[in-house]
Amino acid sequence: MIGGIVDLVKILSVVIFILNLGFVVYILKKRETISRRVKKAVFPGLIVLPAVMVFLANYHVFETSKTVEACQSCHVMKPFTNDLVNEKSMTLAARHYKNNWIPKDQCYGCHKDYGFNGNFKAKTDGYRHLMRYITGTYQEPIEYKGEFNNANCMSCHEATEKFQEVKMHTPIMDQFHDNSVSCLNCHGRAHPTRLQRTPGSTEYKNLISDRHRIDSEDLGSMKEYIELINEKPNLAKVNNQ
Amino acid sequence: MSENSSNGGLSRRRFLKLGTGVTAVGGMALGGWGLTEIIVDKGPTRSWHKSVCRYCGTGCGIMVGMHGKKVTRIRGDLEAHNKGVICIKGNMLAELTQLQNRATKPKIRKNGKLEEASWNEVMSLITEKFKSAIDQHGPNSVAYYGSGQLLIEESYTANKLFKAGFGTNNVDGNPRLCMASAAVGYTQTFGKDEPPGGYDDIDHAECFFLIGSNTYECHPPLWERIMIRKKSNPNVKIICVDPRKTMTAKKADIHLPVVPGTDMLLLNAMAYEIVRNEWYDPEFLVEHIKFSDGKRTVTFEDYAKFLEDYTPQKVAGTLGLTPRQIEEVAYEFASSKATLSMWTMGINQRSQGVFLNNTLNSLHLLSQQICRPGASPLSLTGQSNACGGVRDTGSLSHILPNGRLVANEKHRNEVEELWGVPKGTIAPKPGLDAVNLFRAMNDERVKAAIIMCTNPAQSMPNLKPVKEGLDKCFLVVADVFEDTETAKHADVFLPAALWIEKEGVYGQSERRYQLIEKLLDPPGEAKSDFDILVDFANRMGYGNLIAYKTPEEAWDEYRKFSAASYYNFEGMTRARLRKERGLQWPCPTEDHPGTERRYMKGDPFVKAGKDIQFYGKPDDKAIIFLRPYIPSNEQLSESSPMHLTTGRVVEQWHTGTMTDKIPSLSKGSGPGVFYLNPQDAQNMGIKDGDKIEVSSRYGSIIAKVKISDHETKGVVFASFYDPKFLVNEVVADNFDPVSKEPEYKVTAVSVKKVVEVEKL
Repeated sequence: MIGGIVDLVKILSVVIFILNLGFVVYILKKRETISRRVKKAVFPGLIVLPAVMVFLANYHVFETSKTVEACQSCHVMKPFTNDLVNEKSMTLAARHYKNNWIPKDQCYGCHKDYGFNGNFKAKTDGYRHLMRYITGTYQEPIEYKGEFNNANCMSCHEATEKFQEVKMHTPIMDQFHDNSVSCLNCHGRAHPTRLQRTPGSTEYKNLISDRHRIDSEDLGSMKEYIELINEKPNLAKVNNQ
Repeated sequence: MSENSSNGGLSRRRFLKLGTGVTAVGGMALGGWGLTEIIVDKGPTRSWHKSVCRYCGTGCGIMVGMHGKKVTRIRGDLEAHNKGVICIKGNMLAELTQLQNRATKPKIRKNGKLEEASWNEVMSLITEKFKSAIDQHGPNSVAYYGSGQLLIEESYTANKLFKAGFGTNNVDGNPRLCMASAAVGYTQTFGKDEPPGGYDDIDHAECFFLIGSNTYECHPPLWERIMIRKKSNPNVKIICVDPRKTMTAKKADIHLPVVPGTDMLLLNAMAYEIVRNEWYDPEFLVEHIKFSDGKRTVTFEDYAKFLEDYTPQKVAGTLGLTPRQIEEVAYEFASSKATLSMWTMGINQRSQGVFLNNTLNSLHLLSQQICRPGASPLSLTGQSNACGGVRDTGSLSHILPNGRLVANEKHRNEVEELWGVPKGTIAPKPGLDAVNLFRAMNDERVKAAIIMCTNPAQSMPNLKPVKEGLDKCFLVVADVFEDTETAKHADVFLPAALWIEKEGVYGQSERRYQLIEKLLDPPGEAKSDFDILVDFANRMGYGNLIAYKTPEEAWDEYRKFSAASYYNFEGMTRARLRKERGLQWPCPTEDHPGTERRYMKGDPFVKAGKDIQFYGKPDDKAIIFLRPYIPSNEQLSESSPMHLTTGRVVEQWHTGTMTDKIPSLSKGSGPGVFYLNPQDAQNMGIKDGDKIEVSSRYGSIIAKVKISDHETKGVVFASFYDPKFLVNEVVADNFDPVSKEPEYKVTAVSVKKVVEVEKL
């Protein structure tokens, strides 16, 4: 559904941009001769339409940044995305990815703070990361500032039977909600560790390589697989055995 | 210069406009960036420090988040052996450092009340009482009872002071209650204590044989690791042997609910199956194994004959199993690519604890499930530093540091030489073990004792005579809280520093030593147990023997001491321990990475060219013992028709002196209660919430009951964390004749309804 909207936004943005460009060229060429009526159209043409376009472009950027492809396009994210497809990795991210526990946009699946509807903190953090990245003023291994929001885990797990049968969850629900206790404390590494991601470490070379690159074909095939599973649920059981 | 550029046609005005525009946009971008750097949310923590969890023997690496002098956050250390996983108790360590009711002043009991005194006053009194006891009644009239929670430097100091200073081997501690059987078991089988493998084996095992261990509740980070292993490999099988249907048992592939006290039959029957089906490698047995009946070496044929008394058909009835279940488990154990056995108190706290440990080791040797990744016996420790602090430093009444025995003259002489004391200083007779130490207090043979960092008035079995003994002797108690059951009997109370209020090394189940650095000051006048012991040594006139003044100096002495043994960890300098996430011994040199698996390639003591060498034994051969099943003294009868077994719950640790004060944890566990199986409850007309009386020949207590399908028919379960529910008053104080570890897991009891829930 979201994919369809994003595609529509893409097309709409390009059409508006071409229309706007044509309109600007027309205004400039005919600025001496155009009527007052046309001049009145300058406002929507030069202010409203570009504003709509900027809005749509932002929406597009925020939505496409949810994909694993978008994440792995940054050099510093490679250790994280490579880990997803490492068959030996037991990190939470890898287990979620390899077991198809999250069907798509797996990075975003656990980092729901960003995206178009994301919060202000995520937006400012995203801008900071962008500026650091393009100016090359970052250091590897990159470090998560602040605290991971447990709500990202809770949104999928809290209502499940498996979560509720663990009696030690009950007395610390408040601590989960204010993040003073992290879900990761009992469920382990989400990604490769800082030492593993440090240039020069024994695992760094493998973590940073392009060998594991996830491309749109992989994602496409995964989508097809998931669609197939939806049609034939028994196949999933066979494959999981 | 003309206003218009000759080639671009860009006027100065336009250039300025453009420049201003670019600068404005750039400025906004950079300014915005700067702003985001300023307002970035760093969370409540300003600095992170690596440390080790205070509680159990898993020894999880943790990161302590601090803001000034306040602990703000606790996170699992992602770089440590536990890969960032800790349990609910570890999660609450920040709250532990913020508890308000800490002991802050030394006290002396006057007219039945503990009254504040100065450190000089209390230490002078202790010195006078100990000196007078030694002068009048000899060195064996004083004793030290320590803890698997003290730091290595502290236990090492106490042991040295009492054994090489005062000349008494009355040095024991709570590890006697939890790990003594495992320690003796390893020593008898391999020649040296401590397990061959470690936690890394969990990531390689294909069969987990969990016996007498509720790993899910008692070592949750290890359980999580087992589950991660199982989820990554569908061939992995988990076998759980436990009379109770614990969460571990519920999640296992195979659960064998044996009758309490009978599992020796199961282990021997499994060995029988392995021999009968020839699931062993004769060449391995010839090259690396010797068979013994405990007195003399015997042949493999003798072993096979001995096992004929334990065929699945013969033993299944007593075990409460079917022969087929035994055959299946034996097959899984022997045929998997790698089998890892894990056990704790269900095996150790038994009158046959050593035999059970021997036989578990034997199963691994017999089926060659040893000396490769994933295949090893691995006892799990109850306390954070029972291994490193007590077993390895030899701080029990029958042992000396690094695997030496008191009763062995050569060993005594080695230690005397290393400690620089005259030959003959260390008494040749082992001192009093825990049960006999408190009996000796009751008999008034022990006149003065110091108890550090433990709470025997709640944790010892058959509590009544223990408490009487505590009242009869001059008792010094050092602890972080003054409201413990043991402190009630103290003549002198010493306020002690807790966890990160002092510095020292912890050694956990897999021979890994990790440093805890000091991050906070102790409250009020509280002092580290190390400082108390060093001061005590000086006042008693042993300043030359305990010449070091800081934990680091003590560590350096002990580190060099270890070089004369197979424990050799001389390479673990303080600087390395500050930097690294712990190291596993042997680690003989500063460039040695530590030893993940012993007795095989990679172990620095295995000779070049050998794949396996059990070098702890003079002939390099480990021993498979012929260990018969001897029924427990606690046999069921008409008057005592049920078994009482005790254990931990996930939220509480030991006697609850720390965890029960943390609201989330005490709320999670609730107060101490008895647990009964629904069938038993129905037969006795007992409902959930009724008050029942559970009685044994040692004592009886009345408490509420919970009906739980985790329990097996015929078994009453209780945990011992609640001081208002002293279940150890009912528990038998039978003990293993060799390890002297009490049999907490098997007591014959009667159960009677006292008050109905509706009337409460």
